Amino acid sequence: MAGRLAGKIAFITGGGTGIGAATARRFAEEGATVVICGRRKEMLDEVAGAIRAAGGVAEAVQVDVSNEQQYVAAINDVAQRHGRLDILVNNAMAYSVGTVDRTSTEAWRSNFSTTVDGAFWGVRTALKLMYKQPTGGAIVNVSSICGLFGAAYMAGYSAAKAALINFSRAVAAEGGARNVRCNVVVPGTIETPPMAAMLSSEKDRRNTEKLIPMRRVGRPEEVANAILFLASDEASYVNGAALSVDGGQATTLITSATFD
Amino acid sequence: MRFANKVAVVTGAGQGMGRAIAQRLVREGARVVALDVKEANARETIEQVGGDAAGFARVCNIADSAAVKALFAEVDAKYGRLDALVNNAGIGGAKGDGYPKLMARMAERNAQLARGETPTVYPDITIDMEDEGWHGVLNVNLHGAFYCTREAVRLMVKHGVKGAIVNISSTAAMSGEGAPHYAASKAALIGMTRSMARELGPRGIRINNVMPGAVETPILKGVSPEWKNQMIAAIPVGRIAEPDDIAAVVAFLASDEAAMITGADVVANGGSYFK
Repeated sequence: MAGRLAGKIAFITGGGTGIGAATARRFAEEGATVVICGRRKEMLDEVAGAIRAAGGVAEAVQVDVSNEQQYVAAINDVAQRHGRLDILVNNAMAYSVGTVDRTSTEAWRSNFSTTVDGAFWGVRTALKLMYKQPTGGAIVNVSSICGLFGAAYMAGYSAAKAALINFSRAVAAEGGARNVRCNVVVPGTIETPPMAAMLSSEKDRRNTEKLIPMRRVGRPEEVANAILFLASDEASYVNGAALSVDGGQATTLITSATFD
Repeated sequence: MRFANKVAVVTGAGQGMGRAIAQRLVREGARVVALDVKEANARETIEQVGGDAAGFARVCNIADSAAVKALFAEVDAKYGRLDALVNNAGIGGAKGDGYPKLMARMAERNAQLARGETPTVYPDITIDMEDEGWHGVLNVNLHGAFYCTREAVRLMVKHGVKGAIVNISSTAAMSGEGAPHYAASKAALIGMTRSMARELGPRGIRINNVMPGAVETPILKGVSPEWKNQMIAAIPVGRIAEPDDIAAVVAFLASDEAAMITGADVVANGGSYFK
């Protein structure tokens, strides 16, 4: 199945680590030219360098997605240099942790500036470019299981990720007629750097795994495969879908009783 | 070749979506057991993609649990494994469900409206739904899917295969579009999928649900052009799905690329009902 994204230009935010980096590697394996952005240059260069060493095509650009000017300029620059933009993956996120009664307005807003505002700026910029292309384009946003079920101590993050799901559906309804599909993946607990701290003790890990029917935490590559599917022509009729990649975790968050 | 050396059973494989699913899996390396109530159609599905090397076709009424059991025993004897089951077989109506009366009533109501009259006839179906009609649809769409899934899981467990099951539900499960027995049967698959995802996850067996909107299948042939145009107008991507559009989603969920996806509902409707 090699070459499912042959010739495509893809822009991936938060590409220096975790799901974004795995998506960049997966896209490159399938023939896409990938441009990853993020705040930390070193990590971006490392990911892009590894992709190039493996024979892929990758560029790294240092961009803070919560900065409208920076983000918009970066996408337009890529489209100008490559003559097109086929795929946008809004994966970058930021979050605050704490009880609602002790959350400052600044901390609250930090959840939205990257996840929601950033996704909006990215989508708006991408749509303008993709609407002009006869081949349209595909947008995949990365939400979280916290966007389906509010997580304690992560109210802002949960609200922002929920917003991203319905934003994606609205974009799907608008963009479909102009050949741009928009979908959203909804990962459960995935082995990423922010989660590593929460899974550091054996006890925490066991308790987490108990709530996942597959009895394991997901790997970034497994989310990347879902993003790849939604970005590819194989998903040509999938538009406005919220695809859970959680080992069945969403089913256990409604009621947590398990067989073992 | 995502399905090299894998064995899959596809129900309702004699036409439309089932045929597209079966043939896509074969093209990706699987040997497929194509089931249908029409044997010739199922055989044609297999013959079109290589005959014996592609798998085999059997007539099977999935509403008959004994027939389903016998069929899976044959799969076990022939291949000694099972990697995927696609519960695609489904019917939109059954004898005794009051559909003919509904159609007559809708025609009369539309005529009244066209004449500018206040309609005195209503689009009823529930008041004419006989037990036979209700059970007829549930027997295939829900009970048949259960019988097949039960046998498939038994085989996967027996051979230690971390297999995948994909159910074909419908957006009707959420929207209520269509008759109540059909919508109920498709909604029931959602609950079955989630419960089995929780049960089978620890074994590494996955089960997911695809929810297509309108698909270009023989079932749609009876729809008037005006109705069809109305349907298309409500779909953001501007077209009704081709069977292979849905087959691509099924193949993804059945493949190892979806190794962490279970208990999920994947809507594949071109973005409808958000517009």
